[in-house]
Amino acid sequence: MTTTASPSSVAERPGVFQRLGVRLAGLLGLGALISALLAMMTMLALASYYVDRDSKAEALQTARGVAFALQAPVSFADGQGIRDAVAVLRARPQILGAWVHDKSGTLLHAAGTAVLRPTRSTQGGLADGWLQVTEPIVVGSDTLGHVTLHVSLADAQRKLQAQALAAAGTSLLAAFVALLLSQRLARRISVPVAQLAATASTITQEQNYQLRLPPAGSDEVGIAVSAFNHMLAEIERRVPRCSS
Amino acid sequence: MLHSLRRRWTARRALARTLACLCLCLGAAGAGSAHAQVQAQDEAALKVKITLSLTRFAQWPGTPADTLRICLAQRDAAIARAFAEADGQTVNGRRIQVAPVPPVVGCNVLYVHASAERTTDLFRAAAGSATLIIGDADGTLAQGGMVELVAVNDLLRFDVNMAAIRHAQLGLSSQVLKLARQVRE
Repeated sequence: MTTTASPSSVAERPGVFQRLGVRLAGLLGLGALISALLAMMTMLALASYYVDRDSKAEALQTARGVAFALQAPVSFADGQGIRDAVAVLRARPQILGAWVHDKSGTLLHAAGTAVLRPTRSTQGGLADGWLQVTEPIVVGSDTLGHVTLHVSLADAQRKLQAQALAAAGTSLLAAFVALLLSQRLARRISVPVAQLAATASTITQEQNYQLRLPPAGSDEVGIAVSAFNHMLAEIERRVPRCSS
Repeated sequence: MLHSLRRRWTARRALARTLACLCLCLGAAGAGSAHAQVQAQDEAALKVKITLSLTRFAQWPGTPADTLRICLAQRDAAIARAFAEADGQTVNGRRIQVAPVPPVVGCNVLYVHASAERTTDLFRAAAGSATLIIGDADGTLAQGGMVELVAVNDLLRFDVNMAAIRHAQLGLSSQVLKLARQVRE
């Protein structure tokens, strides 16, 4: 008569961190955490890149619009016309400074509180929290001057920070869920193996070949358990012959 | 004798005073004249600048030629000098050629200064052709001109006669119309 082995019959169990289930769960959890972190970092890097690129494109677009509106006022040196064209920017609170120069570099008009940096190329970015863009004022083939805008990116930075917090929270939640699932998965794999080890240990100590393991599915572990049970049955069949 | 000497002395002092006054008056008049000349030259340069700016925003029918012919009617040294300085410059890739009128034929722009004579004949000659007529005399628009330069509170502004511009099949950017003091339809 055969009996099914129970986990309580295990003679000695390894330490917590040496147990297969714990190590497997840890490994799966670590993988999930690294994946979540990588996904979060990629998402943030992409978001930063696109926000930076879009901010520059938007600032240049605004500068182009103002440069177009300034064509006639700068050409006619109409001070009021220049002021009116620049005053449109008041509707955009993120623009902290605007400067209009003629082609000789003489300042025709300045508005806002920002400090003008002496360069005509695009300066600053998302990391700096500001952007300075310059656009030429061109009519036909004549360049009449240029307009420079200083744009604050503080709002974009705030939005990106909020996105980063949301991404971090979601990633942590995903990692936690992945950890729970990996524990359950690891238990499914490790329990039959642990039972196999415990039964083998009991048989060695007690010479009881009537012990059997419960079926453990059709995967590799299940095949191993089935083969182990078959091996025990074969030994049990031969042992009485040997003893007689 | 003493009385005679004192009288002569007084007469000399009076003569010296008169001469000094005369010198001062002449000096002041000279300085005033120089100042007026500079002012007239500045005003003329501004009128030329506005004329060139108008050509920048005006459209003529057909393919634009390499040169932009500006015909000038004037009897004023300052405006002649200012336009002479603009001669040879380029606007939108077109070389400016300043020429006196008459004739009006072939002019892209006709500038009629307030000092010009027989303006009615000039306006009549330019009417119907694709010539942008600019003037700085009172009543330029009423005579058939398209743009009239007007001095308003030390600033030079301009009025536009859109009907005349359309009649000549010319175009003027809406950006320029925004800067005009008055646009007549």
